[in-house]
This record gives sequence, C-alpha cells and structure tokens, in this order.
Amino acid sequence: MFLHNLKYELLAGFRAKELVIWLLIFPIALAVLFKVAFGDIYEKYEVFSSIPAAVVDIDRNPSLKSVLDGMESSGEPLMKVTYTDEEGAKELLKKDDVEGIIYAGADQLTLTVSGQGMSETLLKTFCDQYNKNAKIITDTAKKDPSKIAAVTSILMKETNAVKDAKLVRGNSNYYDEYFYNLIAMVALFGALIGLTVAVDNQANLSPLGARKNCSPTPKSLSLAASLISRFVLQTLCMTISVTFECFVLKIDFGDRLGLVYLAAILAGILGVSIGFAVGSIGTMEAKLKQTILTSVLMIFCFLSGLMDAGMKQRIAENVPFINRINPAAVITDSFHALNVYSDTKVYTEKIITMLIMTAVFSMLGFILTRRRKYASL
Amino acid sequence: MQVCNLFFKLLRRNMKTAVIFTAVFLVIAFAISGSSDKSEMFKENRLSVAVIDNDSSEASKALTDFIGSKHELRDAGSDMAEITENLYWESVNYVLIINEGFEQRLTAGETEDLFGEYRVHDDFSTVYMKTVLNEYVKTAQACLAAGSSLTEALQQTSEAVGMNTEVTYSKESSEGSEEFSSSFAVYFQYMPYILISVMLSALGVVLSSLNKKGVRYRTECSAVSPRSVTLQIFAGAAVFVIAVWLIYNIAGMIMYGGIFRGKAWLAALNSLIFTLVSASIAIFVSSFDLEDNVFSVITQILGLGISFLCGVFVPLSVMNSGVISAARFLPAYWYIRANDMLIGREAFSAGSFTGFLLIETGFAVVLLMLTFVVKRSRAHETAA
Repeated sequence: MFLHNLKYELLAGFRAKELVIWLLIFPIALAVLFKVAFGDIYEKYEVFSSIPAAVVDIDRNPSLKSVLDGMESSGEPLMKVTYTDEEGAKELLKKDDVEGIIYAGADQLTLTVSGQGMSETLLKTFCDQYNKNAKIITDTAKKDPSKIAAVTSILMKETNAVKDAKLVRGNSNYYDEYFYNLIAMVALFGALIGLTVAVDNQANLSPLGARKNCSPTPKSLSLAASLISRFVLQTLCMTISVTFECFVLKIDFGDRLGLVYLAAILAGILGVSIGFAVGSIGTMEAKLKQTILTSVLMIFCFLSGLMDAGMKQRIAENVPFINRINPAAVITDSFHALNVYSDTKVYTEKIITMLIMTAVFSMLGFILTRRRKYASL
Repeated sequence: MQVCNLFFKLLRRNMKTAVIFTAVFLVIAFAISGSSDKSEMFKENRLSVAVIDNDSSEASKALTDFIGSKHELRDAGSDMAEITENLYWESVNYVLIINEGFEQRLTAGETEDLFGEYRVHDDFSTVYMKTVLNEYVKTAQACLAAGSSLTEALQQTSEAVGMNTEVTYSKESSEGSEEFSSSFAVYFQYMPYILISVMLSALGVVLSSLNKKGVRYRTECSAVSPRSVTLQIFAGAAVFVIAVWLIYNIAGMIMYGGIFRGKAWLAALNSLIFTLVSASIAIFVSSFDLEDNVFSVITQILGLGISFLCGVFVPLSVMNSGVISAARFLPAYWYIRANDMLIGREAFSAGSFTGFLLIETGFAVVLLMLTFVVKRSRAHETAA
C-alpha cells in the first residue's frame, strides 16, 4: 500500500506545473541573470590589475620615464601608461579609458582623476612616493651631499617587506555567494511542495484530504508516502540546480563537489519539512498559509544575502544568533564553509544543524496531523 | 463605456502588486539619492586595517600610528575563523602582522619579510598596503642612512610618506551635470525594471483577463462593436500608462527638488518612450492565453531578465561584450545608452540621443504589430 501511494504521489508531483515553474525554471532563469550581471564584476573590479593612466609632458621628466619603464618591465606593473598630450589625456579620462592623468612637467607630479576609488588612491600613492623620494634626495643634497648615493640606492632598491600569506586557497569571489543563496532559495521553496503534504492529508483543508481521510489507508502510511515523494522530488530539483550552476554556469563550488550535492539535498529536505510543519499548523486556508510561508522564506533569504550578499556578515557582526537559526543562512554557510575552509568542521556543524531542523519540523508536522478527527466537514 | 468601466474595475482589483512595486521602488530611490556623495574634493580611500604588533617597539608603534592616521584601525578578530570571515566579507581589508625584531632589522637595513599579513583577496587594497609598507621601510632606512637618529627617522618617514600630491578632481567624465547629476540619474536608470513590472502585473493582467477565451467569445457576440471594444480598452490603457508615467516623474521632481531642468527633461522624455515600450510588452504578452501562474513567472523573468541584461542593475561597462551584443536586441539597452549619454558616461550628441529614442519607439511599434498578428491568428481560431 505504501509503495502504491508513493508511486501515485510521485506521478502527481511530476505533473504539477508549479513544481517545474518555481523550483526549476525560475531559479535557473535567475541563476543565468545573476551570472550575466555578476559574472565578471569580481575579476574586473576587485582583483588587482594594472591601472590605466595617461602621462603628460614626459619629455620634461626623463627620471620619471626611467621609473615607469622599470615598472613596466615587472610581471604585473602598478600602471599601464599611455604617453600623450593634455588634450588627448583629457579625452581618455572623459571616455573612462584611463583612471587618471599624471602631469610630469612641473617640479612635482600632479594628478587629475575623475573618481574616488582604490585605483585613483593607488595613482595618488605613486605620485606621493615619487614626490617624496625627490624631496628626500634634494634635502640630503642640501644637508650632506656625500650621502646622496647611499640614500638614492636605498630608495631605488627592490623591496619585499611583506611575506605573502593568503588565507583562502579556494574561491574568494564573494559574488558567488549569490549563487549559494539561490540554491538556498530553491531548497526553502521546497516548503511549497511540503505544504501540500499537510493540505492534501487534512480533511478540513482540501477535498483530496477529505477523501483520503475516508479511505481505509492508515493516515501515517499515507502521510509518510506523501512526505517521502516530496523529498524525492525536491532532491531531484536540488540536484538539477547544483548541476546547472556548477557545470553550465561554471560557478566555482570548490573541489568537494560530493559534499556540495549532499548539503544541497539535505537543504531541500529541510525545506520540504518546513512546509510540512507550517501546513500542519492551524486551520487557515491553504492559500493564506502559502502566502505567509513564501513571505517568511523570502525574509530568510534576504537575511542570508540573496538580495545583498553582505547582509549575512552584517548580521554576523551584530546579531550572530540569527544566522544560527535562519535556515537559509545555515544552508549558504555550508557551501561557504566548503569553499573557504580546508577542514570540514564548520561544514559538519551546518549539516548537523540542518538535520536537527529537519527532524524537528518533520516531527512537528507528524504530531500536529496525527489522530485528527472531524465531527463534520 | 461598459468595457472601459470593466477595464478600470479589473485594474483596481489587480493594482496590489503594482502598488507594492511602486512603493518599494520609491522608498529605495529616495534612500539612494539621499546617500549620494556630493563631494567636490578628491578623497583617498580609507581602508579598515588590523595591526597585530608582535614587536611592541618604538618603530612598530610609529608605523601603527602612521597607518591609523590614514586608515581605520580595527580589531582583526579573536580566532582564525573570525579573521578569515572579516577579510572575506571585507569588514577588514587587510591584516598586518609586525614581526618580532622589526625595529632591530629595520635599523640593520634589512628589507625582506619584516611583516606578515593575512588576506583573502588579491585586490587593490592588498597591492596598496604592500606598496605603502615597502615605501615606509625604504624611506625610514633612507632617513637613517642620511644620518638621522631612529626617532628622527621615524618622524621624517611619517611626514614624507604622508606627503600629499596636488590632485585635481574632474567630475566631468561620469558624474553628470548640475541639472542631471549621476546620483539623480540612478532614479531613471532603475525605471525600466519598475515600468516593465508594473505594466505586466497591472495592465498585462487586466488585458490577459479580457483576452481569456470565454470572456473574448462573450464580448465578440455582444451588441458592442469590436471597434468600440478596442477603442475603449485603448482609452483605458492610455489613461493608465500616462498616469503611471506622471506618478514616477512627479516623484522624480520631488526628489529633484523642483521642476526638471535641461537634460532632466530629456531623461523624462526617454522614460515616457520607455513607458510606451513597457506597455507594448504587456499588451504583447497578454495577447497569449496564459495561465495566471505562467503569467506571473513571465512577469518576473521579463522584468528581471531585461534589467539584468541591459545594464539597469549593473553598469554596461562591467558586462562582457557577448552579453552587450545580445542586449542590443532589447529596448532597455537603448534606454540605458540614452540615460548614460545624459549623465556623461558617453559623449552627448543630439543626433545619437534622438536615434536611441527612435529605436525604442521602433521596438514598441514592432511589438504592437506582433500583437496584431497574434490577435489575427487567434481570431481565425475563433472563426474556425
């Protein structure tokens, strides 16, 4: 009887348009849009690359020319220089082809910029250094000319005072957190099909529930078949979502893909169990429950960074407790942990939290729906 | 007037989503325009830097003070996990470790590995901090070589490294003009998303209801002529479209602080044409007999899709060339190009600007013609 019920629950699930639309098409479309919008931002704006700059009047400053030539011969130079006249430089700045114009003609370098970002700050730092070195050499020449050679050689020396230590060996592109959040959203939207488990089995919520309650099948069996069929459907949706993001959109989930799939599948099961529990509470209309559930889930997703990736960290700094109980944050943290940490301590913590949450919500659903009798409908 | 009355009755019933969209949009728009930086002076970026001083010497304290004078000093965190999270999310941009024996090695003229670091990103902040630290070390050693004592050398270094180049801040390139500033232009930049969403969720839903098979069949066999039905629906839709455009532009004027001037009027004209384009998208989509569920997904996907692809949410300059090539086939791309031209991200040319507006209008005309074709084919269906 259980297998019979399970078979028909699965068939009904596969034929439900809502499942295909909201759990597959919508997230896949959103993922494509996220990829289009955020795909290149990290590489273009966050990761350092040589800053395009225009230099005017270089003929009047041969020492600057030799410094810039020396710089350009290094692996990744600070600047990518274009030598031009003032008009040309202004045109380049206007078209945003360069970040700033360095004027080399006067005693000291001066700079013109059109923005206030890190690129402009780095250009200013270069000019500051050049002007400072020139001043130190001039001051030394005035004070004690015999020391000019020593001072100049120190100032021109190739220095590497900082020992490199990058903490994250995996993917440090935090824009990928949007994709982790999207998977969390798909997982939690599984609550919408979890909700139907309760609605389809409660006689006062749907005609189907009323018919089921009249049938001789034990309620626990019918409920278990419904719930397991939703788990199977959601597992399928989660697998498709992760596969699409990973292999079609090429989102970097790190090198422990098996654990990524495990987290996603458990997250989907958690989503379904949340829906089952919420659907079982009270006698509100199914549509109203669905609206409330969707709104609450969207708030969870917002707090974990679906609309603003930095939100979760701001909450971690101010109200860390929320991240520990927000299912969306727990799910995204599990992907984040696999990416950032080399060990699986944090990942295991998050998986255990998901399992506990799933057990609590499923139990709650069963307790609220079992042995319910109706005097009249 | 029966059909027109029905149109507005259905519109009132389906306005909830459009009202929510509008309210959220206006709140966000007001918040964004209020928080824009109107500085006329160039300001260096201030980073959040954490310093772990393992030397506790005069030199390490001087360096910490120097960094503190230019940047915000922050606590790195109590354990490695917290430090990693702070760096990953850029709550802290850089963690500097001043190694034990720093002062001794500095005065001895050593330059290699005086510092350690924790970082997560290979970003501009890291390059900046490394550049400044290398320069600090070289300058301190140059001052020592020039005959200064350690205390003098550290003081001279702080003064020298903190030296400021004369910087001219030219806001010409992409900061807009006084009559159409870049902060205000953001309001018009986000408008395509809200216009498409509102038109589809209100006008589209109403027209879709009127186009439903059963309703259409009943209307067609009623005493009202098809021409009158079309005209009444057109009149209702026109009133709605103009009202939506007026609401957003009046709200825009409130944000602007008075009646638009100069290029702001051109932005309003651009938005009027895009309102017509959005309405034609809604009319086209509603000409298909779609289920409510499918219609709401199409609304979301079209609104978000067009906006993401055409540079509404993320600037066109960030997107790769393939996406931009595809975006040319969408009307919002030309709207954004026109808006960018008004801000100054592209050189303004009256001819090109007019061209962009004509292309947008062309999209509206093509969509209306396609709607006509779809309606014709469905009319044949009915006749059959």
